[in-house]
Amino acid sequence: MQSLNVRASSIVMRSTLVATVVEDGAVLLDLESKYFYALNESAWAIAQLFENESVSVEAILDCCRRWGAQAPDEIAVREFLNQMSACGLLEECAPAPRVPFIEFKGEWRVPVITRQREPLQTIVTSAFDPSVPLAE
Amino acid sequence: MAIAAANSRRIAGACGPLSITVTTDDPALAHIASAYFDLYSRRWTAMSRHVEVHLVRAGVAALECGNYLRCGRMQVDRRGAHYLAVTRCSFVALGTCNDGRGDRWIVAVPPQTVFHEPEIGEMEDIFSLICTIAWRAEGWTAVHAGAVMKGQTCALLCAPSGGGKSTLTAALVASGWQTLGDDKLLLRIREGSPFLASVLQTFNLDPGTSRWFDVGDIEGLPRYSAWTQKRRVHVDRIGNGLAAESARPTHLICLVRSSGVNGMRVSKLDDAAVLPALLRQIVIPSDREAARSILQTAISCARTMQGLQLEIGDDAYARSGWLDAIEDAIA
Repeated sequence: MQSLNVRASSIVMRSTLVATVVEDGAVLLDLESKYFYALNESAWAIAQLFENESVSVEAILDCCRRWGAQAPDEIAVREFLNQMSACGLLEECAPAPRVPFIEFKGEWRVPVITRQREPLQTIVTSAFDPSVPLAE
Repeated sequence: MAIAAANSRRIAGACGPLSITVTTDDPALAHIASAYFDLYSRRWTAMSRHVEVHLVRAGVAALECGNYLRCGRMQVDRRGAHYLAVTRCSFVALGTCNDGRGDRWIVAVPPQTVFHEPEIGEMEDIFSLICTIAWRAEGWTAVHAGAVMKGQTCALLCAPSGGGKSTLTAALVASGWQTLGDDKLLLRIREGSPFLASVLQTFNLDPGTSRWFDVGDIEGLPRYSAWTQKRRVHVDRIGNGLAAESARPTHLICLVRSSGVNGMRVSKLDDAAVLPALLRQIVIPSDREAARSILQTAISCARTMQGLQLEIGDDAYARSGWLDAIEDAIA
């Protein structure tokens, strides 16, 4: 997968992703690839900025500064976005007119996204059995 | 839903929280439906949703894309409250699932169909779909795992099909543990914590397990499904009175067959590995609403369970002391 040039882009999360909030971040499941991802609290706060509407990378960096990110953290934020892009979780598009307000009450840390090593099965045995179907 | 003819057969059954009525005027279809729904032998006292299924012989052309679920022999689409499933043998199931009035399904089977194993398997796939959709609508997530309990401990036994869930469940029951089932369970969050319920009181045991436990004439018992040599064995046949109805899961045990291990070896599973292990036992449709609900249940459940990995060596059950490794790890 090609990396997005996040420096110049506005981005939005792909509509195939489902997010579930957990106490220390969120879990994202890609319904297409069936990979799932763990996001720490800072990563989830960032991801919410473009969960439903597009936002520019500059606006994301502004929000991160407001949440406590220091100048050197910009590299980590861009790296996080690049990682999401490389995993096929982002789409490039025109920026929405306004940036959503996301309240971040946690302690700012470098955003981390961890992809589960193996995806879940995309083709299953039956509606009940998620095993790989037997070869016929 | 078509109105059943005067000479039609009506099968009334229950699958956990569901009451099910199947109507058909075709003896073969009635027989297959009856055999499938008879599996759900654990009767719940309260049934909260009604499902009507009408089975007909008719050729129906349908185009599906699998936007809801892609199975080995079946594709399922969803549009709002409507579902369309098409199998390889061109069986077509149309369902309308309405929270207020229960679910209504009509399943059309081509008139020339003769039922051999693949065709029976596809009917079972459709019935599984009908049940899982209705369970989900009632807030239950279907989990393809075994569960055993002793005292305050309840362990989910996780492995793919053929991975040893049934054998270990049966082995533990033969040693005095209770069970909620060996491969079909329902899970939900109740009063803030995960809650497991049983729907079956039969094991699906390979005839080969009779070399470890006394299950009588297992070869003479009915087969579990069209796809396997496994036989349906009632829990009481292995441990009388050890079928449990519900429990709060405390442990998740991943079973791994390992010929390099003597007997059994238990190790702790990393906390981060518990959720993936649980999700691998759950079918997650490509549907945002269903997927979100399943994820929330699975995450809540995974966070409360301690994870273990159990490596099972060849002929592990024939070795003395195999149970100690498990009981020591869980206690």
